[in-house]
Amino acid sequence: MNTLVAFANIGLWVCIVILAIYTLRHYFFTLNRLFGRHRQPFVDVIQADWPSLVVFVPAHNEERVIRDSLDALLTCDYPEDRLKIVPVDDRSTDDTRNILKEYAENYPGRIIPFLRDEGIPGKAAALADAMALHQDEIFLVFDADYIPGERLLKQLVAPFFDAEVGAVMGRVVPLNVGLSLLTRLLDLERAGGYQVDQQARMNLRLVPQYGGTVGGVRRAALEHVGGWNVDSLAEDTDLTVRLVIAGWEVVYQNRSECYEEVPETWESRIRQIKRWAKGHNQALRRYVAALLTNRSRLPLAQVLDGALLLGVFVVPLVLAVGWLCTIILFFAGYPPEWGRFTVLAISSFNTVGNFAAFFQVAAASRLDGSRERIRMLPFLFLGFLVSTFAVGRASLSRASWLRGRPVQWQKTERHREGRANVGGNGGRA
Amino acid sequence: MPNSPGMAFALLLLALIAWMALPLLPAFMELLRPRDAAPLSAVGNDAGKLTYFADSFTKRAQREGLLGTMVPPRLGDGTPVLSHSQAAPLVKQRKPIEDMVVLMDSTPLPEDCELATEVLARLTVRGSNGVVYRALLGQRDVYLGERSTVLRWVHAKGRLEVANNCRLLGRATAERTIVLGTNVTFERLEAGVIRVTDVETAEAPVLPTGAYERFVPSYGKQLAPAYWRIDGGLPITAGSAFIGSAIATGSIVVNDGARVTGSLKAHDEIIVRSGAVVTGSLSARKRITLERGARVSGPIISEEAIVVEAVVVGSSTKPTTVTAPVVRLLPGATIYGAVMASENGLTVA
Repeated sequence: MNTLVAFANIGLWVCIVILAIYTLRHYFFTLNRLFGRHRQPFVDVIQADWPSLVVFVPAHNEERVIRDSLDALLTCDYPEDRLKIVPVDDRSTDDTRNILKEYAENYPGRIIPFLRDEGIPGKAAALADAMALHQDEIFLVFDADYIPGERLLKQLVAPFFDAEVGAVMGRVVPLNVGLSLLTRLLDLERAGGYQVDQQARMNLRLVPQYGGTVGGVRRAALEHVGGWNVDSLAEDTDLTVRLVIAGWEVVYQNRSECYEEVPETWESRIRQIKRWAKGHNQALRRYVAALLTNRSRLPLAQVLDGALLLGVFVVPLVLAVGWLCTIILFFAGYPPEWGRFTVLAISSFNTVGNFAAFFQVAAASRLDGSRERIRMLPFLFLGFLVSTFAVGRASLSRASWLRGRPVQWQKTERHREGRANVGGNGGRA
Repeated sequence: MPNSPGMAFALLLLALIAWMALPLLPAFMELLRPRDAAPLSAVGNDAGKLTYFADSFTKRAQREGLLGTMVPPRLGDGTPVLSHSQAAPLVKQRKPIEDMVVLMDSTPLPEDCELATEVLARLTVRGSNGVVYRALLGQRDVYLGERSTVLRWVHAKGRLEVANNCRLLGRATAERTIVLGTNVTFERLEAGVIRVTDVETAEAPVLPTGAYERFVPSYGKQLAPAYWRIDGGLPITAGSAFIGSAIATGSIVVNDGARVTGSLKAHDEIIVRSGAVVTGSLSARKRITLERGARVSGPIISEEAIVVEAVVVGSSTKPTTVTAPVVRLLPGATIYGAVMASENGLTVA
């Protein structure tokens, strides 16, 4: 009994420390965005001898959305002789392939589909095969439901004039905001994640994350780190960490915004977040040791931020372990060590820590100049609750931690009916 | 008053639920009657296009008939329009002129007047000293007199010439050339070519790489073919040729007459000395200094400051961008493309 209590005590304190670190991180990032200097050194690069660029559009059964994406890419102001658009169709069973063939016929030399029926399924493997055929300097990736604005390609390529930049990430903005409670909550979450979290990391020279879409990579950097990991469940996180470990910089461009379709059903959202959690945990297992032992080459702040980024989907598990330890200690009849201090720590977390994410989203809404939607903030509790359980379950799954699982396309369901009404400028008002 | 304990409890419970639901009231109202449920429109159409306002104003001027033979006395929205010409010049006022002004010919405006609305110049503008423009669109060349101020934007469809001691707040663009005097403050400039004074700039000769002694970093790590990462500083030997790109955690100095075929990034500062040539881009966390007679082809990006002496940046066929919070341009600086100073741009003698 004494051993159990001792373990519960230690476990509880470890959980408190981890949760406190994540809470402080939330507040630190939010305060940085509210009061710190906005770092965006590449936003004003408007004229240049633009490098050769390939835009990849990975697609698997995307007949509902891919026309909008290709049409938007075709209207971008990137020099035509430097730009190739490569839709990568991997085993679609709907009409996606016919749509791509139609576009290839209408835009010869500009749209060059890559059709794939063999090899390992999945986005990373499809991108690896498609990219191997191109020797251009910069590769950008847009998922098939994304609708870039006219100037987005130049904005995303501009950071690559910095020789140290290995990857760039733009901001994702939900297009189907007003459809349901879920889409409104996801809109708030995205705002917090990009406007505050990613930009604060950019401001502080930490580790902004390449998110796998609305972003891209320098071919030389990709080759230097060994290309795409085809068995990765989150090829974006996987690549981000490998680039950082190898000394490349990942850059976030807050003003390079692109519209996306967020999940409209809770089932779809739960599947999406489970996939992210498994992929993140997979990357945590693979790279956290390499990151932490790379102290001599990377700034300490980058190492810590990278480790926290990798561990973000383990937090629900930590929370659950903390609850378990508290229950054990309560029923064992033993007050935890430094009992009053522990109670104070837990109650402080409940009053301050739980609100860190809300504070972040509220700050993002303010920074976006969109203050009315802040009224939806209390409902975020519902979104966080669902995410916590979904992430917790995903983090306990085999795929999160074990090697050698075959990878399949795990795509988010599309809901768009008809063509997106976003205009020639990506819907910007 | 409730007369049973059950009723009292139910009422208490209801009151408690109502009390707890109170903070959710705005959320439910927003859910049921959305007031802010449209996609974010965070990026304006003007982002990345410096002539956006000038283009919009040109369209408006065409739509309102301001470019025709007869200028209407009012615009469609009721804004009064004043004409200024040799036959009917504007007289100097103490107060700002709130009406839109159309300059019918090249007659100078009264000195030290303030124009609080857009100005359309149908012919070449010969600006008087000390005039304050909110925004100015020149259908031909624009000459701003000494101590003039542009508050929002100025665009010349020909050449924009700015006399000494002017302030260009916002955007200054020209389809052909911008010539800046000294002690001109600016924020964002874009033109076919931007010069500081009409001083002739001696361009560094660009010889074939075979004419130089080859420079290869003797330390550091090769990330990719012709791609180095250097821990510390990187001095590139005078008169040598470095083929490739380099990232240095210290400073980079491209010494006199050296040639770099690639891009450079420094965590500290970059200095490109006289006669040196860089065909790629320069990026630094600290200051970048281009000394007299140097030449750079690609974008120049600093997170601190850029000093451009009598140097050529970009070319007529390959325009580029110079961007930093603080930019200092010296006489003879010649930039093809754009100069962006997010905090403070200044031409210095």
